[in-house]
Amino acid sequence: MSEREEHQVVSQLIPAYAIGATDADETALVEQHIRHCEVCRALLADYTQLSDMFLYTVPLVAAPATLEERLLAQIAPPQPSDIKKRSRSTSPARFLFPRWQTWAAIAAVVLLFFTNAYWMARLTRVKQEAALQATAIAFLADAQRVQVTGDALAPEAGGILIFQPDTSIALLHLDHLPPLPEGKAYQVWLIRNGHRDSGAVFRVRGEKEITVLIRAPRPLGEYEAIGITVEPEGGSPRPTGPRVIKGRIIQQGGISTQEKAS
Amino acid sequence: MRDTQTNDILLLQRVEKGDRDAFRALYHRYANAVYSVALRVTRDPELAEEVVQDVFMKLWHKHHLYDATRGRFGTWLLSITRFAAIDRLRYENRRFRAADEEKTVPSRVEVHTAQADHDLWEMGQHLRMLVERLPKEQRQVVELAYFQGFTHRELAEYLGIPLGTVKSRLRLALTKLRDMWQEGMER
Ligand SMILES: [Zn+2]
Repeated sequence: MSEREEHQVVSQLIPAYAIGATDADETALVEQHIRHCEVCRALLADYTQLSDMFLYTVPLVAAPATLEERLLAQIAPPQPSDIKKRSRSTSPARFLFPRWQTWAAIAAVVLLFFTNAYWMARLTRVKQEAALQATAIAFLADAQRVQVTGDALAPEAGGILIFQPDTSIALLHLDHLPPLPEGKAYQVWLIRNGHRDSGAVFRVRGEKEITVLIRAPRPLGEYEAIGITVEPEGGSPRPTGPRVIKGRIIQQGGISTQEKAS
Repeated sequence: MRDTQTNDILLLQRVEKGDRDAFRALYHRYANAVYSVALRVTRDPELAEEVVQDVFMKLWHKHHLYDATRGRFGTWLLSITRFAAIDRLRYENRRFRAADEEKTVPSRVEVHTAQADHDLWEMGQHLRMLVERLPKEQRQVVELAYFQGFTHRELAEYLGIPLGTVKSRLRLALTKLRDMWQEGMER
């Protein structure tokens, strides 16, 4: 093969090579050629970037909660010095994540909608992505935000409820919620005329931030307040455990018009 | 983005010294992402868990394998997850089965935590939509090659189509994606 022919062949193999789809003989040819061909190296850099991006196309799902314990059990047991260090209030979350930022919530909203769209499309075999994208954008543009704060049991906890008054789906972005023992979960309550509707049940495993999708029986604008209690894992028909988070949805004179979420 | 990377490197340096807290911090930051990639490849929750364990054990014992000059830590971690998961399928001789199983959807997926690299995940959603726009047979070869680790020959065998067709189909699909992707990024 002449130099020129080889370049021709290899440059056509580069996209497949970047994602690891070439067979052994092709791989060998590509690897020896790029050593001396700058054009192909540049092309490869391009496709490698695309290949890396594919990793972020997978639907984000939560890893099972039990996995962490099993993993930690496999590595060396904690040293006494480790324990001392931890009790010195190094909440593991402290260095875990960048500070609360609005874009994180927005990214979470978009992610949530797209991810749901993915599952919906798979389940119904109907393409809804475009419709949901439009929904997500509209949702963000018109959404309102109210703050929720931690109660005595979780004084550091807090977050933001992102919602539209006329829809029954909302997002609750929370931080610093303490992890719960096995068998317990957090439950979100929406309060209206003293009546409490369940909005979501979720667990926290040590994440500093978590975004919870809330599905209420009624449009969010009809509720006065929101609260979170600790309940048995499957959730309860009405609150039974201690309250950890509270917030007002409606403020005097109507629905809160604090900053917009966009 | 740079902050996450710097922070990861600092944590890795502590992991190198056997610091369990640092290890846990990295775990919390990436567990969901790693699990998601493993699940996407294996399409089997149990196998995916094993892959997550393998990947993090490797991180604990062989953290030096990461070379910071070659890109972000998070991307590297997901990338070795993908390879580990494909290897696992190969080892279990289940690649073809995983490829056939389009239906294994975990039953409850309600809470999503974007723990790190939100912007990359957001860009990923954009790329996913571009992939969805490809003709079905092009999307199929891309997904089989990328997530199930099929090579040209394996694709030809699995799909029962000539090798030359497979090669040009995959090339066409990836070229198209790259062009659409770059166009999208320039806008
Ligand atoms: Zn060349």
